[in-house]
Amino acid sequence: MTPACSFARRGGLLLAALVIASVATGCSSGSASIKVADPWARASSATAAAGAAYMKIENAGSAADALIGASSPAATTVEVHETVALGSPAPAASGGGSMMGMQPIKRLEIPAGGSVELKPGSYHIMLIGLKQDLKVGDTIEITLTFEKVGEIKVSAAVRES
Amino acid sequence: MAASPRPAAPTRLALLTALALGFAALAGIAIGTVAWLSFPAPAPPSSTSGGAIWPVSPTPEGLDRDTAVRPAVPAPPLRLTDQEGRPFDLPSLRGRPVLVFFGYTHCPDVCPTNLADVRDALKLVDGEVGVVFVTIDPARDDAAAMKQYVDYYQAGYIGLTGTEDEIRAAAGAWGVSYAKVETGSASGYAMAHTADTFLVDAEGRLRHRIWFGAGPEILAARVNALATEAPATPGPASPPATTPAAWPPPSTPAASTPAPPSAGPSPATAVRVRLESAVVRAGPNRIVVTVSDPDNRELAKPDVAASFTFRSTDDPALAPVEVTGIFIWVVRGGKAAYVAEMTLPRPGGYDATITLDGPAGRVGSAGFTMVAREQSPTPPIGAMAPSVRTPVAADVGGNLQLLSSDVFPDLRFYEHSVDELLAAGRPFVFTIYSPAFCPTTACGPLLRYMKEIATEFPAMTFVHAEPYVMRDMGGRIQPEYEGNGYAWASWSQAYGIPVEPYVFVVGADGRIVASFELIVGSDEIRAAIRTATGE
Repeated sequence: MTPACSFARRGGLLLAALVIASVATGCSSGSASIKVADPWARASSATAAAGAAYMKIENAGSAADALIGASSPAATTVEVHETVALGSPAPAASGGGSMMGMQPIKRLEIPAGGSVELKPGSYHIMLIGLKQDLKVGDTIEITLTFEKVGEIKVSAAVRES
Repeated sequence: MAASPRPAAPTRLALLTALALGFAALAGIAIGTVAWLSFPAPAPPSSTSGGAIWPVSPTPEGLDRDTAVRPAVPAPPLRLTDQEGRPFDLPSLRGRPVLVFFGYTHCPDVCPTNLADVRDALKLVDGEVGVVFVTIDPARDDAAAMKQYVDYYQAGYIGLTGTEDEIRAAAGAWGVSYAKVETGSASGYAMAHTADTFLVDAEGRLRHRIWFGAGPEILAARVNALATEAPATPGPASPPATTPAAWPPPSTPAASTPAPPSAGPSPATAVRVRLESAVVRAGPNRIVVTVSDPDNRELAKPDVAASFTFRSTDDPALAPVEVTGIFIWVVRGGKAAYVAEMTLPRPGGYDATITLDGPAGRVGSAGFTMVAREQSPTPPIGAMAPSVRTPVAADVGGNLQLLSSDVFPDLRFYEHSVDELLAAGRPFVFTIYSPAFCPTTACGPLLRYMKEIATEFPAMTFVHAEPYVMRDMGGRIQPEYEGNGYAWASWSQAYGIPVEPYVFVVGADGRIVASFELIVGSDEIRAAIRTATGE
């Protein structure tokens, strides 16, 4: 992370479930413009070891940005993880799939002019140590930290699936 | 960082005991984003010396994907403890279809997705369906944890736990692999695991194995299809007579307790047979099967003879093919298998039987079915070996750790590329195998045995390549992911291999002398080398 690109925007805009933040200056390689669409969290009991939230992160800017952290008042710790298939698919005529594993992602790049979808079976925001039940109809606040545009707060609606 | 090029010993053991051609990922998991390991751009496929390229056919996704388990064998046991602390086994749910899947309660994404998919699927299904969630993390998931977890989704779902040994045995019997993975997350360790959903019919037979992420519609379609079947004929019209030997018939109340409790001369053991080979073709074949008893104990032994019979189901008038099996070690002194070498007269379905006879008499027999394809994805014996550029030591400045996931890479295997050997007219043995990431239970210490063979045959050239596109994780390499698994490297695609390991023995004329899929005995390779070199 170059100093020129580390300019962080604190706060950010909260606009229902659609958030836009952008940095127009301060980085020689162009600017990132991050939009978070349809953030949601899966309904979960507070007794569950961990919950998950999903969303689509779009970058309309001309420079790549990266999600480098997250936090939420609803959980003790928030991490970005990726669910990955391990091993090759089943041989022959088997309807089975690969073994599924999970890895923490320290830096999730959002390419310039592109988007990354956090969805079940793929990237997800892992909510560790839930402080409350995630009940359908509730919303929880999640603060996403990006390398360039800084922090963005989103309200994730709690849904069943 | 948890990445380690070798699985911990218990993991490897668990994988070897897992019966299925599972998807056991081994070793570490990629962390973060690191630069690609770039091999020099492969030379244009020098028109493959006249040999055809067999493309890997994509697996159909969606509703058309074949998920059926054939034949419909009685479901393996689930003699575990339910969320109320009571003993459980599957026959208690007889009379309704049951969806079974494995996971753990600390699982934030895959398991809730599976549970939500199942719950949504059952909204599309009429009638009662049992739902059973089995933990593969018994260290953290006691009955109370399972109760909290399943009750949250739906009262009536069953959550099973047990001792580590019980869980290992149950998962192995279902072909479910799992491994503990230290990820450095605040949530503690993660469990990588097979996340397929299994559908057991109302008669207790395992009917479908459905991949993770298939979604509620496909799950519902498979359950609903059971209801529309003609009653009592859900399986093949006439299942191989020997199949039920694996388990008592579904109507037996004491299901899955095949051995009589009394001592004395034990009658034939219940034999569970697994066809390990992914490629079966009309014409000359080499197939590998593994056999175990219902408790996963190895039944293949040097002093136990195996005989095979193959009957065409498409043309029953054809005389059955009968051959004697060849015993091979997968791991010397440990896991073993039998090879059947035979010529199948036509493509299509075959009912096969394996009969085991030991020093004390008949051990038992079991049936399995297989489908011989018209053509195989890999080049047949006698075909020209595809000319492909494989990475060599010079590409990486001699740092073999960037070419091989082998803990002790042997320079002899990385001195020459396949295209170079073909052009020079030199015979060679080409091993496509990932010592650290081979995902199937067929994975043994293949490369270690191959090094011994290389020493025995100094005139032969040996080439090893990882089957997958690998990336440099900072001095160690790990496979790149693609779709539902690892990304196949260009040479794997050129040779059309659907699984690993694969060994091709190629003669000086560039033609394939022998190919070995998955499990191969050292003596088989020695014999093929003698053929290739005209010894």
